[in-house]
Amino acid sequence: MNNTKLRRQFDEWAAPLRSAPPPPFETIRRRARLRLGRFGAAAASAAAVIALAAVLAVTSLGGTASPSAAWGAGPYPAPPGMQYVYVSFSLGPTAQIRNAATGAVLATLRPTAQTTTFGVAAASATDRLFLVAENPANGTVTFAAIRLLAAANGGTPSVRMAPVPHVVLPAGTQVTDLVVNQAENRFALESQAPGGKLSLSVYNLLNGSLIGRWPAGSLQLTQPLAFLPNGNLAVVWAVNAPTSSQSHVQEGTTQVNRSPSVSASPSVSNSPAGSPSAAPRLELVNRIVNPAIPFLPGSSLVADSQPDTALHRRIGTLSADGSMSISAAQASNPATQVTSGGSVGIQGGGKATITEYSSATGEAVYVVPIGAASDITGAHYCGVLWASADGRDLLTQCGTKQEEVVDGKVTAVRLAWIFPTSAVQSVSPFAW
Amino acid sequence: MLGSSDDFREFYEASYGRTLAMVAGLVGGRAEAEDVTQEAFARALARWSLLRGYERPDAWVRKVALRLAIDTGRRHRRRLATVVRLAGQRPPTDAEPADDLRFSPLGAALAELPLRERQVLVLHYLADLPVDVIARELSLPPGTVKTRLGAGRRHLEERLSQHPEAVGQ
Repeated sequence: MNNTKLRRQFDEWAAPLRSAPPPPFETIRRRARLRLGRFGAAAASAAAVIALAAVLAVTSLGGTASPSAAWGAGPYPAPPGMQYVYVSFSLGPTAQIRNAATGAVLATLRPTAQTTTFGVAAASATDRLFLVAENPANGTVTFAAIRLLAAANGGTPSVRMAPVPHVVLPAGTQVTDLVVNQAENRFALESQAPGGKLSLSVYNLLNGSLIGRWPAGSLQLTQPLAFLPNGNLAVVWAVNAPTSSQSHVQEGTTQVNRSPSVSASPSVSNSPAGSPSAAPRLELVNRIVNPAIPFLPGSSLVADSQPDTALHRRIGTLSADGSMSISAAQASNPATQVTSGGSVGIQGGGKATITEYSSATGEAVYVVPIGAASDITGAHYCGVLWASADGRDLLTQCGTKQEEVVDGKVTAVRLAWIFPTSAVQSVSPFAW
Repeated sequence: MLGSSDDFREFYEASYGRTLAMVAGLVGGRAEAEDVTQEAFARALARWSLLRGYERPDAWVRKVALRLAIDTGRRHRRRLATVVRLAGQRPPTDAEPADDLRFSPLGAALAELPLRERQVLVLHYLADLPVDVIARELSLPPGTVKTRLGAGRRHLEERLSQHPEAVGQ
């Protein structure tokens, strides 16, 4: 294909976008005002070109994180135990650990090497450890561990940051998922090599040794990675299922129907123009990988994994104890019904809903509306901010509305910040 | 600072579509592209008093949008991977839904490219920037940009050839 033909093809593809009327100027002005209101003078300073990437982390810290009276600067009660937030300014080489209640800065962090920026981040189940990818200027990817150490007298914790030794991903690699195990000695990542090939890797967090690397091949890894309490790594990939009207669901799989009809079952419908009856189906296959089994180079993810028959349904992010999977959906718009984690898109239409599925039965245990269509503004994050280890306690935000959901029961809360949509673009939608 | 500055409005209306197209080439979906583009312009408005003095404020917006798009792309990559696979299963007679750019052969092919190639292709073909300007904006040597552009074209062609209806449109 010559350059002219390719340019023409780009032009045709882009024509509807280039000629699209811009949204009313007031929309931009409102967003700008929201930014200024949220970040104050800092957002308008010379360092304003930042995107706030945040993972709500929190609690425990050896008992130092007693529920704070400072919680809830607003008129609502605060959720208990929530204390610290990892904040990464993803467009600049700065990150912070902040008190989520007051916004006070516990520590300001810089990447472990010069001319490096922070990338995707993950939090451990104890919320004492953050693992963050770093992007040096040469295009490679390295990692650093940020540990929150409880003070002996129960005072303010200290923060220690150190590079994960020896782990350097080739230039151009994109890390698309990152998780830390509960023992905080391993981490797994899904990455896309410069050639476009996806792979799954598990590393020793302490010494950086590679425990296993499996090419994903043609597998479509579709749900967030999750370490189970026993140390196994839970993965989910999609396979094409027969298009006939098939109601049987195999053990360890979840059918993903592309029909645009609104349904309690998960859907990956992005085909509004297609005929529902002829729409292809995807089937999600739950598998587990045991990183303790020695990895043999050349082995495959299929060969080295086992069906996970204990998980009857996994859509969204798995709770730390593996008992629940949690997903966010925009109820009347099947095109956005399944998200990769706990956030809701901005396509509009319908209320935002969080669904919690029991891993044991596959049934939806709670279906909790967290916001109306008018709350999904695009400017503010909509979805799960934080969840307890058993998944029964959630902190959610949709637009400017923040809530705590305990066993399906909703209470309005107010955190120090209302998280912008950009706050969760570089991190897992929520961290444990 | 956030007053309805006429010159910003003019700048915004003139450059929104072009920026949107560029961002869409990176993130794949129209809704995500609109969110990123609006965010970039909101940031520009917040500091317009400074930017208005720039010779090329559009370059500033482009840079911000590019970075935001990369972050958004990371977040959506997993979901995109599934959707991109589905693109090949769509009957060729189906009309392309206006808000699902990633279903188009070019959109699907772009989404499969590594970011560094997609970035230079988008800047060259959608933002209409010459190689030397791309090199300056990405802080890369021009030779590297040419190499990535060549590799991107080649990989794009390979992927488009898997969608015969796209070739020779």
